[in-house]
Amino acid sequence: MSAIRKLILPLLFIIPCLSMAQTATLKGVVHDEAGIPVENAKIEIRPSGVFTTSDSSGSFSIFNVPYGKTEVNISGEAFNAQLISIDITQPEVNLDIQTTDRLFESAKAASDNIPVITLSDDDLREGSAGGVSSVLSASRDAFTSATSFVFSAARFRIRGYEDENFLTLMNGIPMNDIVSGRNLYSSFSGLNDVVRSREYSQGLAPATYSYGSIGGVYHIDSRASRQRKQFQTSYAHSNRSYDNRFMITYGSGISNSGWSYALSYSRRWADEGFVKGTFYDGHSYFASVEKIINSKHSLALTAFGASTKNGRSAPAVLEILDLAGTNYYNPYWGYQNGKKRNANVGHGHQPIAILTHDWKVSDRSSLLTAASFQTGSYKVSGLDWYNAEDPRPDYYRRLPSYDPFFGENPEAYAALSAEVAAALRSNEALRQIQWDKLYEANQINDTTFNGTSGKWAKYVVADRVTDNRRINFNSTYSSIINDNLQFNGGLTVQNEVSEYYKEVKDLMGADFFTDLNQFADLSNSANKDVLQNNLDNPNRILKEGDRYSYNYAAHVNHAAVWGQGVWKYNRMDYFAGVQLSNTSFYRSGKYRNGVFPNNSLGDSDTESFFNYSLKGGATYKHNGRNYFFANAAYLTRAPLFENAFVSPRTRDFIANDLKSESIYSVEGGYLLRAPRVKAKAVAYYTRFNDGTETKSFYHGDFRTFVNYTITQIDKRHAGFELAAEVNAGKGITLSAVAAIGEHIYSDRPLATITQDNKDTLLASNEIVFAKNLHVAGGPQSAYTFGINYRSKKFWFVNVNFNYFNNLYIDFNPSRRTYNALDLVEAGTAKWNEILSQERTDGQFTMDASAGWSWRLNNKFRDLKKQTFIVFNLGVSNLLNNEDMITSGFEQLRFDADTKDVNRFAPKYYYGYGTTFFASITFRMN
Amino acid sequence: MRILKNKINYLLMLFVIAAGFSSCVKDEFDAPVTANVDPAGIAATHTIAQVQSMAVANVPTPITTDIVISGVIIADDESGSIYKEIIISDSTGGISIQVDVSNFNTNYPMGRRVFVKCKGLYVMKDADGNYEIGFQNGADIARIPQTLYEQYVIKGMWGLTVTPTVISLGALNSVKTNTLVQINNCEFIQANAGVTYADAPNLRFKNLTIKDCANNDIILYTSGYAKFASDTTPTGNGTIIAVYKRYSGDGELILRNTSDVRMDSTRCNGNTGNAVLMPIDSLRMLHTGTTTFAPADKKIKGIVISDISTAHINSRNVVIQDGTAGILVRFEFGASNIFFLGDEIEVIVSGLELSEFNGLLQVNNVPLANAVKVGTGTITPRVATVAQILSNAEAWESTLVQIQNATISGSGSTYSGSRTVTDVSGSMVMFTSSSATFSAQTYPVTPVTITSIVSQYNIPTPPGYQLSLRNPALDVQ
Repeated sequence: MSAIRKLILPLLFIIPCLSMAQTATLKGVVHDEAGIPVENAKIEIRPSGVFTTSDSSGSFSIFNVPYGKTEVNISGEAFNAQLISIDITQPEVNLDIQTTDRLFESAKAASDNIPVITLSDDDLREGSAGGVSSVLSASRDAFTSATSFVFSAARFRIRGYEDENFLTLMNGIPMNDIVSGRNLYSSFSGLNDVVRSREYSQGLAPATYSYGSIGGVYHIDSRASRQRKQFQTSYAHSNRSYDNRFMITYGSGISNSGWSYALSYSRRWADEGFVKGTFYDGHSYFASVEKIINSKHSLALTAFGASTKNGRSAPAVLEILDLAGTNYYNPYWGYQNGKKRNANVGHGHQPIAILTHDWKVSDRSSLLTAASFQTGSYKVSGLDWYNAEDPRPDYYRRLPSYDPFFGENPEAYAALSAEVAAALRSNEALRQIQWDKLYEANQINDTTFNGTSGKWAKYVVADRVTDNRRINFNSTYSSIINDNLQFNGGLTVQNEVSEYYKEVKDLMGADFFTDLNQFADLSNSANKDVLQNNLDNPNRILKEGDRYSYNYAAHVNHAAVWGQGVWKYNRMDYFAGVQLSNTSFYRSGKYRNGVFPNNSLGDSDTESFFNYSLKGGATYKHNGRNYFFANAAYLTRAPLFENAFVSPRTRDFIANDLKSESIYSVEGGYLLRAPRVKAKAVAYYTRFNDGTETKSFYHGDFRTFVNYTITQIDKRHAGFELAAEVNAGKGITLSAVAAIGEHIYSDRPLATITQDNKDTLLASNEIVFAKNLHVAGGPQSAYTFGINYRSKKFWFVNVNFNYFNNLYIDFNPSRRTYNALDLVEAGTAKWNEILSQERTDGQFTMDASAGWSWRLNNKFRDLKKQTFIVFNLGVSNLLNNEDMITSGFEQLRFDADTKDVNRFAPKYYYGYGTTFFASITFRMN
Repeated sequence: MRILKNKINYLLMLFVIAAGFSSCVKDEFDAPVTANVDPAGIAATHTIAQVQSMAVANVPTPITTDIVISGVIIADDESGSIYKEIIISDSTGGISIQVDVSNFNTNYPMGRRVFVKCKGLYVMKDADGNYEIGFQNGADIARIPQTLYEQYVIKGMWGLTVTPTVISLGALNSVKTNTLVQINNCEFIQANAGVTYADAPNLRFKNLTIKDCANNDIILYTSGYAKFASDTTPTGNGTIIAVYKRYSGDGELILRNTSDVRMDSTRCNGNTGNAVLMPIDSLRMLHTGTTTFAPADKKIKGIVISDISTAHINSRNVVIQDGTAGILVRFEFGASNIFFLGDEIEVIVSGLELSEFNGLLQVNNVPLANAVKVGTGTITPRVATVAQILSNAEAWESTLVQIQNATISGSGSTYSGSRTVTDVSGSMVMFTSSSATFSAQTYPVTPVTITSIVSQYNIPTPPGYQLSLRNPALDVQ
């Protein structure tokens, strides 16, 4: 040590003494049971919140710790957290902290249970339907752990919020799609091993790397320097959306020259998943390299991607579930030459490269800057047909409930219906797509069209494609202004171009297909232009790979600047933050549509929105254990591109009176962090006002796509989140979580209905009587009680008892209008039937898991590295409850003539029956 | 030992990596090819005629035994002119299979042989003698549901040609219903030539008439949903191939597609059927003193200036005027004028008689079907004096004139009969038939403005130019 340092060190001791209270230095070493140092452990003083992390030798130091009783919390991703009570009476306190390994790959974290299903035939969106991907379970908190695994089986949404209200960042870059608002969990699906370093801020609590969103923000740090120095490979077997998973990961650790790198590869596959006709084929890859240039700068380049192909399933009406004898009926597949073939195959691959620069500007401030480039596409295939018999096996006219006599001949109908039901019940092929018949139709259609002779396809398989390109830039500045104040702020710039089009994938034995609008309204014979999707290239002959039907691009730009201050005092913490942002977008059409020739080709006007947000809160720290907090936020948010345009496939018309949504949210509660008991009780209240949404579907009566644009959507979400985790001693932990919410529409939105084959308004700003109807999206109440036993011999068992309630079926807006209720007397049973919203029954499930870790070094003493084999087994829905509806929606068609709500019955998705996940992991570090 | 353990580790890793890559999820599919043959194990047991003999009128008869009939599909719903019925025929007859399927032509197109498993189905004959097979709905045949029809109607070879039976419109009673027929040397009647097959904008059907040169005719029914509904019918003479059905005691044809109609030869009356418009004054000039006949392929167009509602002229007559002149059109014996004041009509005058009736030029014996309303319009009467009218009477005959400041006088006080119209320049006769609705009405004696048609009746006194009043309420002001 140099002379200067010899002088300074004692000075450093004196300076704190000059402050009012006496302070000490807390030092120590963190190591595991074998004595191996633990790096990156977080050592936090409670209640002040001051923390540090241990270095590669496990050492840490915290200065200016006040004398007196205090608590120290040691946590990290590889071991169980500990809370130590100490009494500081001397200037230097040394702690020796021994950690116990948390068993990796507990069935919870292992199984990435990301559902691969979407809500409707048209719904091309990727990513989780709501809430947080279970890959990201940061299971320190019993509540978060429950919501990301146990509750995700029921597709529970935290506070009922849409996915748009949660933000995920990876290495400093926001991982969201600014066209649809969804988080891009699918970009790193399967890469569980490398996304373990993460921070989660719940609700309105302040985060360090982002202004956040009202639901919470995840920050994942997958840079090479954060990856553990280890080699790990695992194989898992399951029966959920995939059957097999193989993963291999290597982290080099930081070398002496400051270089580190990490590689990971994951492969998941299944010939057939839990639902018949679904298959899965996914490859994910990851590479990160980082150079710690000096003590101030480090630069990391991370690139990863997930290429996933899967056969999808669709929800169905109860009638066909009953005929098929299972709740897992899937209308998307059929037999072709005796083999199962799925018509709706999703294929997504959107690799991303992120460059992250971490600059320690001083020892009090840092600047994290990241830039990313992402490109790729997501496609969903489906059957397309022109002038042909509808090939959908669950088409309502094929079902026994379809009465061709419209009630006038009950006897004849009963006989006919019985025969149809018997045929469907006994013959599986009749309930599924009849591929051989579709191929035959193509084969016999030898004809000439537009100068081309050959087999003109009646049926093709076509992909609906979205090509994306995203460029992001995000810079976050953090500064410790003084002992009490930390300032965070940042600048985010995002640009996204998404191109949408349809592409012929499989001509199914035919020679060509044609680019004609099969829904064209030809009654006005003078206007044959309406047949054309692309007037500048009419009657085009299509081969495999050709684009057709529609082709447009969404250009979205978003920029935000934010600042936040967090004040920490002995008893009180405060924070306040503000964000200003600008979002603009326009549509760029590539085809001149025959029905809307003047509004389809070219760039639309640019819509631009200026938005702002304010948030703030206070926490009262009664002592190291009891915290009371209250936070509030107000923000305005620009509408999403996909909701702003009425029917972007055909034209550039915008929703009436397009404006930003305004949101305000308050939350508050109590947290208890005692050594043996952790509990929380939180209440929340959020209002969303003036939201905009667009839905499209095919309407058989109008024989075209019909679009519902709903504006002035007001919602109110309110509820409680309660959680308690008790260490009962002897290795037993009990946990109980209850999320009780009531999420409703607080006012009547307006609906404007348009059709795609005619420039007419079917309804304009029609009042939708949706007030007090519930927001659909998972059960609004979810409860779980868990018992966990951890043995000192490195094994554990876990049992969870769960109950889900208050799941509501998504409603059809046109069924709650004056039009639908016309001629129905108010207050009658029929009136109530039309207006009411279905609520599913409460469901009870049970999950169990167990795991065992074996340290090979104990037996093979001369192994140089720490070597483990870990086994994990999880069983979900042990009692095989196959009646749990996880989502449902009323079909968007309503028979205004008969007013029969069951004519176009609702469709449901059911949660899987008993499923398991068993894995074996080999790890060396 | 250590080396061995490292090797084991190494091998373990390799094994695990290999396991990961070995399994592949199949994505390529074999395209099934259907052989163009009749299905094995099924053959017709009965002819269509035999099954027809089991049917009674208006009561569905159940078929309870394993009867199979076979026929070739003669018409499908590709053009939209046929809806939810697969019409098949064999050498003995034809039958309509009622199916609740739109776009059945996808797998059941024209020219495909099918085998119908009749057990469980019902057969019926309607009052007109058309046979149907399907499910039962009370006293009707109901359509076989979409989910089930392929089990009853088994697909066979496709691409077969069906030869239509040539029939004559004069001998329709022997023609079998639901069979494909061909009629030679026929044409659309004049009024239905060059018109649309159906009313597409309103999705309404049309019944058009086709006739042969012996004037036998048959109705062609076209649905408003047909894709060719807005195409126009040919104007010449030739051949039509269509499905024959019976309706309301008469024969009826359903067209499958416009390619089944080839009519571009000369019509029965020698015309091509494409009449060219000629001005009325040119037509008038063709009459040079004696009865003559209008040339082929000619038509005139004018606005009706006579009033059907007041019966001021003979019920077979109508007076029209175009921008050049006017003329009287007299319909054939047995036909009456149906056109109203203000209608704009086209009259095909090809080959028709141009003659004078007591000095008044007329197109005589015009078939009512030759005249069709094409719009509406008004004629502004030419303001003239009596003297001018009398000196231009031939040129202005059958046109509308207006005399101002004239007085009416006569032996009686009512309009009926001959009266005198006098203005400053002179006077002339105004004649009203006693059958006119206003004939008993009293005429005003004060000076009035009179609008009327210039007419002629040269008996007893030539030239006999006179005025013909349509309706005093409008014409006498």
